[in-house]
Amino acid sequence: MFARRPRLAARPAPPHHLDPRAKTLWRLNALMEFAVLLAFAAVAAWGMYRLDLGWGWSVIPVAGALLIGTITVGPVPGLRWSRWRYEIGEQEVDLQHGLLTVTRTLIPMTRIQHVDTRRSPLQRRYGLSSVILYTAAGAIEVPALADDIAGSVRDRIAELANTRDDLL
Amino acid sequence: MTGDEERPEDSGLQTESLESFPSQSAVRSPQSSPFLSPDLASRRLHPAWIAIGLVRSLRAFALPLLIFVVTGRQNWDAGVLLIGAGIGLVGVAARTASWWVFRYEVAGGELRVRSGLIARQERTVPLERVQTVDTGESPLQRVLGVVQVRIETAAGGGRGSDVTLEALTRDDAAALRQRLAVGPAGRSPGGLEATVQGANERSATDAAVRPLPETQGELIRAITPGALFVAGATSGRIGPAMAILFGAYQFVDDLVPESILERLAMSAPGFGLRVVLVVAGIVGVGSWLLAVVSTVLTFGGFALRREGDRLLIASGLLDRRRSTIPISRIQAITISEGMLRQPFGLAALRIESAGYATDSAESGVLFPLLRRSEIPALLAAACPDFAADAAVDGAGLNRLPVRARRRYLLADVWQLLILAVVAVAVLVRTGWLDWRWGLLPLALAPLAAMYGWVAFRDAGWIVDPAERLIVRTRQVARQTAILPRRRLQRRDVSQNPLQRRAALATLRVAVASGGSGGRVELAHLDEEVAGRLQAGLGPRRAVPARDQSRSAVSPATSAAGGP
Repeated sequence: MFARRPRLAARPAPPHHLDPRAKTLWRLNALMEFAVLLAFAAVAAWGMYRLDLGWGWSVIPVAGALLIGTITVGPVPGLRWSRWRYEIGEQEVDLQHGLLTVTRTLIPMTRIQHVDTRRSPLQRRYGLSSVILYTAAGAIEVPALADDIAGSVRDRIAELANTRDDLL
Repeated sequence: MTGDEERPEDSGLQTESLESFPSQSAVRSPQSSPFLSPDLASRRLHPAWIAIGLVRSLRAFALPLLIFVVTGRQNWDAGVLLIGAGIGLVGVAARTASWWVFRYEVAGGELRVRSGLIARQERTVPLERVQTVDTGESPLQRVLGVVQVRIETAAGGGRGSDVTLEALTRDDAAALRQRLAVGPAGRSPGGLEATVQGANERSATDAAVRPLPETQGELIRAITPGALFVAGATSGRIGPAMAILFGAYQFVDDLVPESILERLAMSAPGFGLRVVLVVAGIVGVGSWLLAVVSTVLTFGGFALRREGDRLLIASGLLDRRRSTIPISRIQAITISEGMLRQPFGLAALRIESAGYATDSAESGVLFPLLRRSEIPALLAAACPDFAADAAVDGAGLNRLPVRARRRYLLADVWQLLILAVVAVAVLVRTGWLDWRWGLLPLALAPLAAMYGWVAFRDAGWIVDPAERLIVRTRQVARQTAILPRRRLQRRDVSQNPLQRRAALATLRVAVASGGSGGRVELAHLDEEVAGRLQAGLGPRRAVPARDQSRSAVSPATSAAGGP
């Protein structure tokens, strides 16, 4: 089920991938979340043990946390990376993302109000940036592009979007 | 970027429009009287602002204060009084000082609001970004002879998307509205030429006696007392009303001594089911009456007027509210047919305008109740761009493929099934009740399936010749959204693994909106149709040759795309 290409690709998916370092970044993030989750699971297991429910019950939260952690740290970042595609066209920004539910998003250039690049400390460590597109109906983030690419994407969008907006 | 680095939320401002303002005012000033110059000198609010704030904080403190007075009678001495008076004095002084520093002005094509006692704040709203201007008055404001003006911008409903000036005299409010009205004309498609013309026309009307907003313009439709009552009776706003009733009950329960209630209960023969039924009946009827009353108060005196390129909406008996919405900034119109209204051919019209946050019942209502057959005429008069007959009768709508029906039917049934499984598991494990009680959620399954079936039958879409996407869905009420192609901010098509297997997909489109109302979702379209709709509803001018095939959702092809 995962291996199959999304059928929406009847139209070709946008050509550009995110930076490959995104996978490492996401994996690190997932690892940190995993640690937190494991800590909660340990507390829950200890609580169950103290409640004399039998040690069998204590296994459940720990096993659950391990399972979730293995999935989110293991295959998820790679899969998410391969799904994430983008294209900055003349008329529209074309995005595709999503793990199980694959979403294709089209945003006309003239609807983009402004563009930001943003870097978290961890992103800075890897030389990555996020580009955030703001429209009057909310924002959407293109995560983890290489710094220089993010900058040029931002500038290109800003340039293309700088036409009179007929919203107002 | 548009050269505005300090305030990212405003940087959507186009530089060219900034430049156009001085020239525009230069063009305007010769014709305008000095009083009507485009700028408005910096000024304070009406001093009533101080009183309004104090009354509001008093109201917040009223209940704790009451409890304190009632319970703490014994240690009620001069010291406490002194402390109370001291706190009060500080409050009055702080509010007065805040009033002193609060200033607003219109200058250089911007509305500027300065505030903040300790941390000075300055908000700048380019007039071009002003979406709607609301004038309202609560009973208190009416007593004090002031009105409240709220200016909403297209900042996407987040922080700082609106400016509220809580106490203005009627004259000040009118003057402010006049200046803010520059916005829509400035953005009219004809560019500067049209702006100049618009300015001329406006100053011509300005020269005449400016009538109050409630009598301005041409009346399109006002609500009748009969319709108002029907609107309340069918509003379905029973939930909030019930909450109020339960709150009142709790209050009574706390105040009335237990013994009286007990005696009441004892004196009633056959205490039990009968009492429960009677109480349920009283709560039901009471909630319904409350819903009627609240609807009457909210929509009493509702009148929709049109003045040139703006809609003026007046509403409310106690809290009076008047909104000004430039017609060119309406993003979408939704025809909403509630379950109690649809059988009688009644509907409400909602308006999606970029500035509106969906924070209150009356915001964004174009008309609270009318016959379905009267909708085309009203739309044609109020906002011709949205007068789509297909949205009203729904005859030409493309339906969803038959294989989507099962998903609609089972959408809520699955949840009930999971709930039942969990309930049975818990009951088996704990033995609180017989495990068969856990199957209770399944009793609702036929109802859920029926709702799903109706939702499937209602769902449909069409792109009409005027390039409006019309989407009909059911979210308890039947909602028909009219979305012009050029208003769409983004189009999403998503597919989960199960949909992928059935070659179905979900289409979501969004228009600019202050609240969440600007999003429309149509689930389980044929994936190819969804993809074609998504691609075809994009910007149209100067389409590159390779994209020609993509952008071909003409009415003909879209109709052929139906199942």
